[in-house]
Amino acid sequence: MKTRPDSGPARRGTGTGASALRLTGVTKRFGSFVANDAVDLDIAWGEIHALLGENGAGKTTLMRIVTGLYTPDEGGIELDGEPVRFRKPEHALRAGIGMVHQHFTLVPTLTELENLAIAPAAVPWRNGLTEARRRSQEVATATGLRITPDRLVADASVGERQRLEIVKLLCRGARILIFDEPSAALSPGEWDELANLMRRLAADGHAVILISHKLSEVFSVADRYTVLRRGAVSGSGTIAEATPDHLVTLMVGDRMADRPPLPAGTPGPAVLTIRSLDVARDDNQPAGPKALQGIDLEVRRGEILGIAGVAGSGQSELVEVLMGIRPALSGAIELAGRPFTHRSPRRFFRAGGAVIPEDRHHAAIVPGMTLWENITLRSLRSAPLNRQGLLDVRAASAEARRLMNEFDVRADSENLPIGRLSGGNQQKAVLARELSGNPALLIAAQPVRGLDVRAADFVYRSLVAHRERGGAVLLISMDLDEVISMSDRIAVLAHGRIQGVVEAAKATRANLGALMTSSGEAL
Amino acid sequence: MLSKDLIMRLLVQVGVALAALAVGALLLVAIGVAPPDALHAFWSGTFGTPTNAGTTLTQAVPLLLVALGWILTTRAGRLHVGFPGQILAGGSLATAVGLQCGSLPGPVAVVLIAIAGIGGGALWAGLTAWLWASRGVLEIVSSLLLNLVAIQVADWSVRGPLQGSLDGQPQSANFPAAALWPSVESIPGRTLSYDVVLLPVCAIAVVLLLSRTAFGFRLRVAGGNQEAARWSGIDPVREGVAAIVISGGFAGLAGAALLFAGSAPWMSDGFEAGVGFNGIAVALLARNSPVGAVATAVVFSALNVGGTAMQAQLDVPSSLASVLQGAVIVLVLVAAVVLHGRTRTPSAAKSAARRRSGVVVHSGARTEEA
Ligand SMILES: Nc1ncnc2c1ncn2[C@@H]1O[C@H](COP(=O)(O)OP(=O)(O)OP(=O)(O)O)[C@@H](O)[C@H]1O
Ligand SMILES: [Mg+2]
Repeated sequence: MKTRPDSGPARRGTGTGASALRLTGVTKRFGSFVANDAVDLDIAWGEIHALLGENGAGKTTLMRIVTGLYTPDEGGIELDGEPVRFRKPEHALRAGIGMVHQHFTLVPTLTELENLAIAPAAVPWRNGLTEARRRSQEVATATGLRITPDRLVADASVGERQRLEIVKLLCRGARILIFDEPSAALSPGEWDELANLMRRLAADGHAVILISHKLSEVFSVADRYTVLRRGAVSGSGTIAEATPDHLVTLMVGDRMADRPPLPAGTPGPAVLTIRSLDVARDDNQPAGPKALQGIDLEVRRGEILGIAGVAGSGQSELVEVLMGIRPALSGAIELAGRPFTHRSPRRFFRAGGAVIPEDRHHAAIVPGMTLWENITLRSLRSAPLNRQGLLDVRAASAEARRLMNEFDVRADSENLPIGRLSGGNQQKAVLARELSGNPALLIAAQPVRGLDVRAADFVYRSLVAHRERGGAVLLISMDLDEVISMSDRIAVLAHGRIQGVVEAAKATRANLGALMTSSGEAL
Repeated sequence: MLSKDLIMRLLVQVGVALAALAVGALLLVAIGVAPPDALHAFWSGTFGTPTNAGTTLTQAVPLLLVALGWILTTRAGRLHVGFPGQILAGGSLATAVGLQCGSLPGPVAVVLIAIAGIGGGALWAGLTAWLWASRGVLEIVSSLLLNLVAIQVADWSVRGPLQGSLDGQPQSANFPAAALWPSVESIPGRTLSYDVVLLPVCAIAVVLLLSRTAFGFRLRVAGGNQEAARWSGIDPVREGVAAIVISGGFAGLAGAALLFAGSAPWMSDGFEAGVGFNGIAVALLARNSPVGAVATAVVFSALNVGGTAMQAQLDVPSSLASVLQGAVIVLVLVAAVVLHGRTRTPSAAKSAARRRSGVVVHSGARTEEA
């Protein structure tokens, strides 16, 4: 409480342009590895400041320092011109710095208002609900951010949860809000809403820090930028005077060649065939509403089939059914030329499948286990790395090192727990694992989410190379531009139905968008 | 950073040991015993003579076996506390088999008894595993309840089918000499059973099982992230069941060891003697490291044996040893909290973030009151 006696919502809106947060020479080391190298960062009140950089550049680490999760080894932090030192997240929050978490910190079984009330109460036995209601109304009048107090969080969409998370921070007096790759979980529409929200917060005098790998987002909302490269600041300035090329150069050190258009492929026989697939939304209620209805799809050898659609159109259900994690009501699936009726993840992989799950953190990695164990998560369990139940640990870690090299997974050592890698590098490790087995069918759900431009480009080229080798790819993405540029054919999924399949050459944002909103007769 | 962590950890462990000693000394002074006398009695009672050292080491074996079972289940992400019941089940079955082994050659009898113990414990744990896997009953609840059942069953069997003492005591007949596990003959009293080789062998076996076998790998993946296990073709339920059953096997073997390498060559109803729960403490004290558990098992065993010795020589209540063990457990938990707050590994940071809302409630309330 010594940190900022004068902090709190009362100071909200104090002028714009004055320095809100200033970092000077902040250095953070993990062992001999320098994650942040003498970073200077200047954030002003009333601005949206983009923090850019490659995967592993140290953005998240820097923000963890700002929010008191890590203490810096060197350097100082000034808030409103006064030096501060946070030893715990609570200190930073009390001083008005809040982080909007990727993995939301909400309790789904409580209402939105009740979630707000899990905040500091003046006295423990007082009912926090009235206080929370008053605060949330204050926030609503100040910023226009409204919540639905009596709705269960479980019933709220991802975008609505994110808004509640922001309101929660504002209610606790946050004046500097940090967003670490916020759009990763959002559909494009929800991103537009969030962008508006950030602008409103900035107009109201708050300071907003945005970490994003999507330059389109940065150019649409940010006022200024700072670029980190290998832990050090490589440039900063105003967005109005910057070009995407310039920012990319600052991030990766040189210009990026334009992505060549997808060469025409020569598709072979079908690897995956889906016939009139019906899937219930709730496993336990087969008679209830359907998540997928009458799905007919074919993915052929040497082809990338994109599935376009807004989030929640049935994409995750489709993946789960194909994997055998979720049962289907009816329909037939063929994988690699054989009926795939008794489905389970094991059989899926044995039949030559591979998957990059959408929810990387929960479904794809074991954070506490080492990088090499995660990279060989599946290959370690079969020959030659597994001989009669005994593991060839040395060969496995050598294999992991080889793949780290090939897929540019940056980490000090393969023995690090994968949870310590930067988000993008975790993802590259998953990619390495799934592509290394040379699968017949790769299901890739949002494969470039959270990746920097160079890594995204690398994924694109890996998928194309995989296609060239005769592999099939089922690409699921909510980003229309991404689907159009990365697929041979595009199936549009809306409300659990395939609304149409379009050759990528003929696909545009407009005609895909039209299919998404059409009522379903398109086939 | 890593080495700093390690130093911190060592410091905390030394701190725990010193604090435990201080607590012990305070207790001794409080009941009017001079600490040097007590220390002397303790030392001679535990390691001072070959006989006593043999007892200490032999009694560490069941503790370690239980601890290894606990370590395996926690690695698979499960948590059960059914060790006392599994010891009783394993011990009862081992007794039933052992009593029939009189005419068999020694090695065969020993192996048969060990298998019976393992089987009994595994079966008992299998009930817990089955209830969890097929009925969704939390293993910690069912195992706790099955402990109570096992106590009743053991009570009944030493009064019924296994009862065999001539004066009608609730205990079995004396085990045939061929069934008793061999011990080192040169040590007076023959207190050092050869089963102490299980200390290093089992600890290393568990280390290798976890780090070098496909089974152990699957177990760790299932325990590390259930969802990721499922998505990569590992059935976390199967692995959890396997871990629970194996841990029951370890506890059952501990039961057999308690009886056939113990001081009394018969089964009575109280033979479990708290080993089931103390074994958990042994694992926690070793921070779930199998090799570390060897050391902590010996320490725990020494506290037991030394407590008895102090009681005999100085008239100290033997419950002092239990109090000391309790103090050690509490101190270890405190140390774990201290370490958790200090080291900021991302997982710790992340769980701190997850708990943030909860933490803020308290700190906020405190500051605003102040
Ligand atoms: N607790 C830790 N221990 C060791 N190394 C760490 C730790 N936390 C981060 N690092 C390393 O520091 C570097 C920077 O990580 P950070 O998460 O800040 O990157 P980032 O810029 O957020 O990247 P991304 O865009 O991929 O999220 C990475 O190389 C990472 O491996
Ligand atoms: Mg990051």
